[in-house]
Amino acid sequence: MEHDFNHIEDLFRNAFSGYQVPPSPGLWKGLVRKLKVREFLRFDPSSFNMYYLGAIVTVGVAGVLLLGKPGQQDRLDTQAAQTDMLQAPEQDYEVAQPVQKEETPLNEAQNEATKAEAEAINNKTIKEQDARHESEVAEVPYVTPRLEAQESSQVAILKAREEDGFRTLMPLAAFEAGQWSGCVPFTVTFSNTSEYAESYSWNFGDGGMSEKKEPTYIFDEPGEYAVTLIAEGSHGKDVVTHNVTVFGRPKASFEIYPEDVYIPDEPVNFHNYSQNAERYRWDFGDGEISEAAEPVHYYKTTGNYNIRLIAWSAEGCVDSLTITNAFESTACNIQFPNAFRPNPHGPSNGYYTDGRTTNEVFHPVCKGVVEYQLRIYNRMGQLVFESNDVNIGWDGYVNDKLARPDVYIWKARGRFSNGQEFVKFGNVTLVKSDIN
Amino acid sequence: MTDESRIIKRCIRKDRSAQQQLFDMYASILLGVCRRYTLDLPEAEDILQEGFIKIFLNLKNFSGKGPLINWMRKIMINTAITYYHKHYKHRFHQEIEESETTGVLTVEEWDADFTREELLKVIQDLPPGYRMVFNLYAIEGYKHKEIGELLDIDVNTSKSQYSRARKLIREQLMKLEKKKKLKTLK
Repeated sequence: MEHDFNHIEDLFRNAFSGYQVPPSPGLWKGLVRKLKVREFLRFDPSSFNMYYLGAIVTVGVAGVLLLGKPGQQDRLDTQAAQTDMLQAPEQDYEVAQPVQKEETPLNEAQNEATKAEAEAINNKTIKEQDARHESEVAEVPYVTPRLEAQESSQVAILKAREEDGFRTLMPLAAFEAGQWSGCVPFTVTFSNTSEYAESYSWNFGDGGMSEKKEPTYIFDEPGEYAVTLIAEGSHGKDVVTHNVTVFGRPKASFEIYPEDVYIPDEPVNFHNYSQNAERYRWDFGDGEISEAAEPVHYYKTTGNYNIRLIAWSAEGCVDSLTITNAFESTACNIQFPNAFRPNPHGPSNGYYTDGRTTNEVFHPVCKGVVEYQLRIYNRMGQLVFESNDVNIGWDGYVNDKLARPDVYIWKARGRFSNGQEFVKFGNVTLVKSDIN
Repeated sequence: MTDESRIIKRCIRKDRSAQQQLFDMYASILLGVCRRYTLDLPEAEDILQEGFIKIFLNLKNFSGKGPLINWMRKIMINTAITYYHKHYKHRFHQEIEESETTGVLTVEEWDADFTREELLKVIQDLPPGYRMVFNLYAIEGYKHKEIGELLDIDVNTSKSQYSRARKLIREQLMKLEKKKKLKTLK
């Protein structure tokens, strides 16, 4: 196993054996500076010198003062110590350092004053020593300001580096879309969630490209598209791909049969030729709806109807088709009553007028009838009445004699004005009139 | 007494000019080592400085066994590891996805000659943890056990990180190769 996967290792080992990178010019100087600080901070008996001695003295004195003196005595002592020896001002100064912020400026001024009053030579040494303390005390828990500053500047540099490190990370390509699938034409606004990247290039998978950070794109063909985002930063690039699915829309389509409908008797058939659809809604235009694929609808009244079909695909894409004035509705129609009461006072020849409610003549209620034949038989099957005129009905008399009350069979056939033929039959009850 | 050991002696005595001599002799080769462990040159130079400070301060402890350069290289690597611990380790901590298939390793034959710069880019684009493990194992030749101890990670983590680093590298190299082929075709 070890054997056959040494290629990458070899490749890199060879490439980097004896790899040299010349350091930048200022590096040595920086190194020396750091080295000096380190050497200094490193306690080494062989390099024990005035600095260390000074530091030890300072620390010792500071310790004694802190332990031995409560704060209040401080000022009195300072003033009293004017004639004191070399150490007095130094002590004060050391104490003043850590407590400085809480003390009044007056006290500081006094310190300055005491200092000034000290002898010239002493003054010199003190200053020198003070200067040294500032850096030497670092060995001890107190960190003097200057060193602190040095440290903090290093920290700052390191921090900057770290941030640099973040910024110069490999870019991470990522993006989101409100929806990953939709109906054609599918408009997507991509939101870019890449990190550490500066420039972007999009490939929408259908030949479309963009360099925008957050492009909006319209897919106008159904299909599956691999949308690729390449995020490029200063330290490389990253690629991410998401699939976008674009569904085709259904195509709503239908025909009506027949084109001329006799309302209300005849149904209207709807032939559904929609494609890529699996759910429908029909609006018949008369306030009624249906969700059947191929409904049959009976209209109650004639009129001009606008029929609208909404078709949904399995993915929920929608299309609709409206046909206005879908068909000729003809109010051709013939209907017969099932009872009548002849006039007992004599035959009327069967003439009747629409709208009369006497019901003395058996006749149909009809519209658009052009050909007509009505035959009425009695129970024995004898023909009792025949009419070829829709305007002439049966008055209930046979050979001028009133027929007896019974149930009679009628059969009507004919043709409507639109050419439609009809055949109807039924029975009718002859009701005996009250004889006044 | 060889030239080098004279310089070492003078360096121990904190002779700046000798230190500079030592620096001039080895800085570029050691920076080459550091460079592999870092994202960019400034980082590498940081490690170099830090490493040289350690070298100068500890030179008196150098046993004299083996060449000085090996000792210095080791210091650099350790410094790089310290740097990594300080700056990256926890920030880029990644959950270990378990049991990634090691798969059948295809034979790796690289037609294209990769330049050192290309390879360096491949390394430096690795996540920091992978970069450490890959450098230590593939180039430095450490064992996974040693790497585990150095990086303070489990041996198995070292192994899995290595195999993933390797996978990433292979992908990159293949991309690179493809790109190169395209270029030559043009």
